[in-house]
Amino acid sequence: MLRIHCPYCQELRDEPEFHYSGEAHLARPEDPASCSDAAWGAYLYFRRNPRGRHHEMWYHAAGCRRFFNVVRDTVTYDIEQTYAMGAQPVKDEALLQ
Amino acid sequence: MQRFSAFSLFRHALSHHQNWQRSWRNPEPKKHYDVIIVGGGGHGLATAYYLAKVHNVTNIAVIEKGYLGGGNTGRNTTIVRSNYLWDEAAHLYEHSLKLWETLSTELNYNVMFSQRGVLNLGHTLQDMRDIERRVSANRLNGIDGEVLDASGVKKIVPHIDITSARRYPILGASWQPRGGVARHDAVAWGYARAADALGVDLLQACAVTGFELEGDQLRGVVTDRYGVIHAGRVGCVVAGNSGVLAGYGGFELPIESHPLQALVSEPIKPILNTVVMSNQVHGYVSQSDKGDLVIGAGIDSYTGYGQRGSMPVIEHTLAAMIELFPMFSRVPMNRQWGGIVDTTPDACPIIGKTPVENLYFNCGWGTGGFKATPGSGHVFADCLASDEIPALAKPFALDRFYSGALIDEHGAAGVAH
Amino acid sequence: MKQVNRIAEGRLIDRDVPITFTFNGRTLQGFRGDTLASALLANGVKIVGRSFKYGRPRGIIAAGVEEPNAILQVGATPSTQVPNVRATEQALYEGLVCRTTNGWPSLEWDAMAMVGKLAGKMMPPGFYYKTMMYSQPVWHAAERVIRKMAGLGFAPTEPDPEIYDKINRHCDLLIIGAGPAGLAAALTAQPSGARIIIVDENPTPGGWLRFSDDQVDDAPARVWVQATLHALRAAANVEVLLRSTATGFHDGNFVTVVERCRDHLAPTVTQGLARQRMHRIRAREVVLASGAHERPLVYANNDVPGCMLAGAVSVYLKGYGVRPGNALVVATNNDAGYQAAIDWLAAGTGSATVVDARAAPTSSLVTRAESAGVVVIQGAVVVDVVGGASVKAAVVCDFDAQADARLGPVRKLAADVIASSGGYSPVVHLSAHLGHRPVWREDVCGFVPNPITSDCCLLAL
Repeated sequence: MLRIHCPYCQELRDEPEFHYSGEAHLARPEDPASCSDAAWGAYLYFRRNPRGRHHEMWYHAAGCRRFFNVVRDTVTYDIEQTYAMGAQPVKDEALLQ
Repeated sequence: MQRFSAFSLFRHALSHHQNWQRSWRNPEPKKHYDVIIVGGGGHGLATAYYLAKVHNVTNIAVIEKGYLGGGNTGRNTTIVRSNYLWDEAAHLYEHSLKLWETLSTELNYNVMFSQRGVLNLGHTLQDMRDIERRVSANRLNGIDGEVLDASGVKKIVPHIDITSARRYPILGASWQPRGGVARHDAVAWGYARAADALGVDLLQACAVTGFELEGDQLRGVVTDRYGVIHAGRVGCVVAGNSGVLAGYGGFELPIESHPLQALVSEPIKPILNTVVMSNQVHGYVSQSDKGDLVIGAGIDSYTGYGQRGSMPVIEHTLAAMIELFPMFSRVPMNRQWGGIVDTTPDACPIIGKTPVENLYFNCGWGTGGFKATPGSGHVFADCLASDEIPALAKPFALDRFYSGALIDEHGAAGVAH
Repeated sequence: MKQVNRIAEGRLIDRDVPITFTFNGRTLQGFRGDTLASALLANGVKIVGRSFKYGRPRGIIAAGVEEPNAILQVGATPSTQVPNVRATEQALYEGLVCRTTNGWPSLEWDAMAMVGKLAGKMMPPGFYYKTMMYSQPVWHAAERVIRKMAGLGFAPTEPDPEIYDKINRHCDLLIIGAGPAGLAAALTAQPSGARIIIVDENPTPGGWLRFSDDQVDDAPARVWVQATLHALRAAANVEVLLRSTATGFHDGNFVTVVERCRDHLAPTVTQGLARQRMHRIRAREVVLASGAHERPLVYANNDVPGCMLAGAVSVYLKGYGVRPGNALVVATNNDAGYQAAIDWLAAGTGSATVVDARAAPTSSLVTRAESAGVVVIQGAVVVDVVGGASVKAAVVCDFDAQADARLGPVRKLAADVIASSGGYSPVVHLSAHLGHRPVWREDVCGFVPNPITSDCCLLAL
């Protein structure tokens, strides 16, 4: 069972408090109406789904009820870092060991 | 291929079973194959078999990074049914079910396909409306199905509680009598043995680490064990790891790989003679021929390749089991595990061509792949043997996610999504 | 039936509290502190089940959770049935009702055993893949028969009247196993003030020290165990959970522990109190001190009732005051097997012979055994058993370990128990739950846990 550090509550909490919300940092097209089928389909459905380091969103459903970002390894399930919605991950080489 | 039969068991007993022919060879790979199938699970092995048997394409290899049937084929809850809602999906799964019905004699290997029926319970008025609609759709497509009321369910499952004492009282169910369960390992081994006998090379403990590309044309695969092996066509059937292989080909898929957990009880005397599934209560159960209760439910919400999930999912699943069958609370659980399921946005598979010429993918079966094993292999073999994508596979092309022609089978995919 | 195999000593039992229980309809006696297995052995029960497929008679071989044969149905009423209870894990309580799970029409005269003897050769592993497939109707008909023969105990058919409990726990240090390694870890960590939880599957702590004659700190091992338990229970920062099994090691040092609060008591006593409690423990660090299980040796018919693990024989002798026979033969490839022979003779008359596969072992344990009257045969192995429903004799043969070859003719040694010791396999299960494969260690001749995360460290035996 994962343990996730909510960047707003500033605490480690258990997985059932949260709701997984998919891949992070997806850029919603500014003008969907002018998108090609390929571009709109890619945004809606296609995902990186990496075997390894993954940038994803979680929602603190039983806590502060805010969305935030997580960098987690999808094989080991180790969480590298969590950070607020709208922010960027810390590019720390030490963290990536 | 040395035929199996009761008589062969008797004959071999006389020599203490020391002279059985090996079920498959362990060959050195050739330099070139007409077709390479990446993925030695049920679907990949079935594809190899039908390529050789139906299309006479025998210069083929199946490349498996672990051992045959060691992925999702060895980890599922063995349910077989074809009661899907939309025509396209119903036809594909029914095609598979028909192949199941003659599979043991076809392969000369008892896959133990037990047609003990499948119940999908309804606990609310909306559940029952959805059931009516789906059964009607099934029957219009020539697929067996009945709508049962609560007493009809009780006749089939005497130990189920249909009184209003339950939190989610049972109002009725859909019933597919021709559905049931099969022995998952037997399917993999049966197809492997038959394919090998037709000349297919099965290469295990060999991982594909890249594609040999010439421009956007595929020329072969790169492996960790044997370097480059050339092929005319390559078909990838690797379930949860499809994204990894797609990456080697330079494209993405609309797939997310989630853990799907399952568990079995210790063997107990027969108590459940059919398959009971409940979307509402969120769990499903059957009993194997060895006596284990085989229990499953939904995926873990996060993506993961660890072949394991979180304990709360197991707790929710068992809570569902106790809600349906309170008397199971004293039955000890024996073993739990997980697989990696490749889920798509519409809970339907992706079969056919990719942006890379000569590279074909068969994936996205998500939580419902086992029941489709024969049909998926049969149809994918069609794709790989000809230039036309067969009619059964056409609706499941990758480009439906651009055109918008999704086929939403989340309802009929049932509990496990 | 009298307790024909009960002897004088028995550290875990209380002879002042006799207990009556029922086994397959027969009324038997034991004592408080007995397990169902020790009580059955004390009463001279040899057959406790039949093998799954061939219907071969099976007896008790171990004293702990590793017992594969004594799988019984326990429960006096339809709603309190518990299927598949290991007799070695079930504490004896007044009025306990148990039955064997197979054997028809009876355990002694099993129809499947006839089938097994006549047609067993036609039913090798996986035989069902090779036949019964002529058509779907033929398979379905065969399946109906197969299903009836499979399965061990049976599920209750009435709703469960008991209450179950769940509790979320957090601690700095979770120690899994309260044998010598786990207890020592707890003692060492306690002064730091860290919140410690130590769990053990047994009703009493100490692991194998409970049955050892060794000394710790110049006192018998048992004294050290009791003193340690006392000290840990007195410490405010330590919780000792007994009768508790760690069942799952999950991501983030999350461990599930099932505490059997009331399974050692008669159901009537337990009304209103939780029968079992699941502890969902999140630990900052975990120490795996889960010990090791003894390996049996392989020889023909090594499943005949009376074949046991050598360590288990010592546990029954010293722990439960049970000696399941008169003539003991120990088959061993290491020193540990000699202890069973020494303990056997210390418990009374009879004979004890050690058959050691090694050509010339020289440890002090061998010398002690010989002085105690144990007959020692070296450079030999047990190759077969005489006896169908129970051991009558061991068939022994000289053995060249270097050439891995039998030498010369076989001879028979009268025996009613053949105890074997093939070394010890570390209990690695929990360490493998996160997908880390155990690694082979040649010096231990066994698999040991792979180093996992930095938050979990592992202790040797």
